[in-house]
Amino acid sequence: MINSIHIENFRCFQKLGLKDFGKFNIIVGENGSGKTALLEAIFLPGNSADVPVVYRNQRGMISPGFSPEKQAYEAMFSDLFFGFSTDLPIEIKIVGSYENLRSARIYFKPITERPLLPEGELKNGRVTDRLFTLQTKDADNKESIQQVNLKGLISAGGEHKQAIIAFVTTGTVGSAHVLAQLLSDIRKNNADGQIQEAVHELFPGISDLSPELTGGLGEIHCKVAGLSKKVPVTLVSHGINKVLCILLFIATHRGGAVLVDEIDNGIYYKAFPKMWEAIIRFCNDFNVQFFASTHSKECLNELRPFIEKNQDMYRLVRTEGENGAGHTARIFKGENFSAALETGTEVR
Amino acid sequence: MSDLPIILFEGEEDRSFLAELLKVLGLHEKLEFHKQCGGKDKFKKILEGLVISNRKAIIIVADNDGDPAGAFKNIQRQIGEAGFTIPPKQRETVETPNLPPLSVLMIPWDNDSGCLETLCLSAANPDYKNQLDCADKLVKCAGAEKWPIAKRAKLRMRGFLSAVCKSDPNTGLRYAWSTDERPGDIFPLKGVVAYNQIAEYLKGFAI
Repeated sequence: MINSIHIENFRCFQKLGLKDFGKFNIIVGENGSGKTALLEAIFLPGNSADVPVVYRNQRGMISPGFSPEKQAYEAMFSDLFFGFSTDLPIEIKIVGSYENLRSARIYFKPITERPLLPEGELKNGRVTDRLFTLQTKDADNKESIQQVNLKGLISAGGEHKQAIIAFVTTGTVGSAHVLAQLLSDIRKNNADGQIQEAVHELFPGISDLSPELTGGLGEIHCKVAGLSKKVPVTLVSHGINKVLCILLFIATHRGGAVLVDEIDNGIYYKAFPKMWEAIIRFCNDFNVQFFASTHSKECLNELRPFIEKNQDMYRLVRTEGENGAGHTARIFKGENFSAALETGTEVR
Repeated sequence: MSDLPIILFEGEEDRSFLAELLKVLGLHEKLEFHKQCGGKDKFKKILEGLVISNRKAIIIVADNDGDPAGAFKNIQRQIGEAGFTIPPKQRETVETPNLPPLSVLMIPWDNDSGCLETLCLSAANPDYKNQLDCADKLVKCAGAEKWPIAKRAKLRMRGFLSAVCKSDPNTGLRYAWSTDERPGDIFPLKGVVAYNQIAEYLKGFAI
């Protein structure tokens, strides 16, 4: 369980500390206030140094490609840094239970101190003299250093323990092969019953999910009422695929955390109550902490009955705009979250 | 998300009265009303929800009824239970760390018994003096003279409005300032001494 996070110089946050997360954390805030950036900050420690590229893809940005020129090379990563300035390192520290306790430091390390590049790449004075570096420490204080060279290749040193954390974005939901692999792993352990039941309960026309190969690539297929053969879930509905994706990640990240950006996106409003019911049940069954951002009042209102049953488990996190020292965020208890929804106070 | 000062109120008639008064004062775009009202015991829940807001101020408006001290204590209790600093006096603004400043306005005024109906009837348009006299007679002949002050005022208001609003005798106080099919001058607000204190108080939040 992640209890708190401290962020410095990451994206729109110059300095931000958030304490007392709950098991279920709902992130709200205006466009550009830092909801996705906060999820990215939680996801970053304990992952690999290609996260800047992953984040660019998730946000629909085109990666400019790697180049030996300092400006072009640093541009690949500089948007991670507060104010796009790489002068100060990014520091992220997550405090929580053993498996989630970790910290990350991101900076540009002078090549002269750690020459990881082939000699041939260091010439003409045009090449960058700094390497993008992700340094992480886990609960056992074991340290890893990963660097991205001028060709985008990662070199790693130290012991790098992967965090038990998943980040569901539009890009993740679109990764049919990844989802098929997750379902396949679950089915190998004969543990897919819960997923099958949950998806069928949410979407009664869908049943019998299975990973199938199409042109050598995996895709989750399903039976659809009225159709004679199985079809890819992605063809049936983006929303169904998204809920399936969330449940698969929860089921495969026992003891960890699942982050979902814009959870309401693509989901029909009448599905929200059952969606929340399934997510909360899965998180409880698999001991998974949950973070999700949303703009949807309907989605939030349908969560209220669940908050009222167990207020201690829920938090509202609201990201807010510029306060002179970068964006900020505040965290509120479940009882205030629930009362605001009940009395019609705007929470978004 | 708006950060304007927000007014919490007991009933829709309070909202109508205050909204109309703010219009007269030219402050209607500087203060907002909470969406919900639910009577004098709903403030705690609304305040708990407002903990998450960035409001510049919270103003609670409530009726004194027949027990001004008791009515104010009831509001103080709810404020404390919602986690805000309790204002020691009516109209005193108190600060709570990380929460909006808060103040309480009791109607008709600090320690005066009565309610919104009491206040409005005291400043009804003199053109309707006959109807007001009739409403007073109604109180007498209905044997309501010893009713609690707030209930008596509501009966008086009911009779008065029915007599004034010929097109719709069912008109409630919340619609008294709506000119649609009813006289628009039943309770004039502009330049009326009875409302001066309240107007001055509200002006203090419209910064």
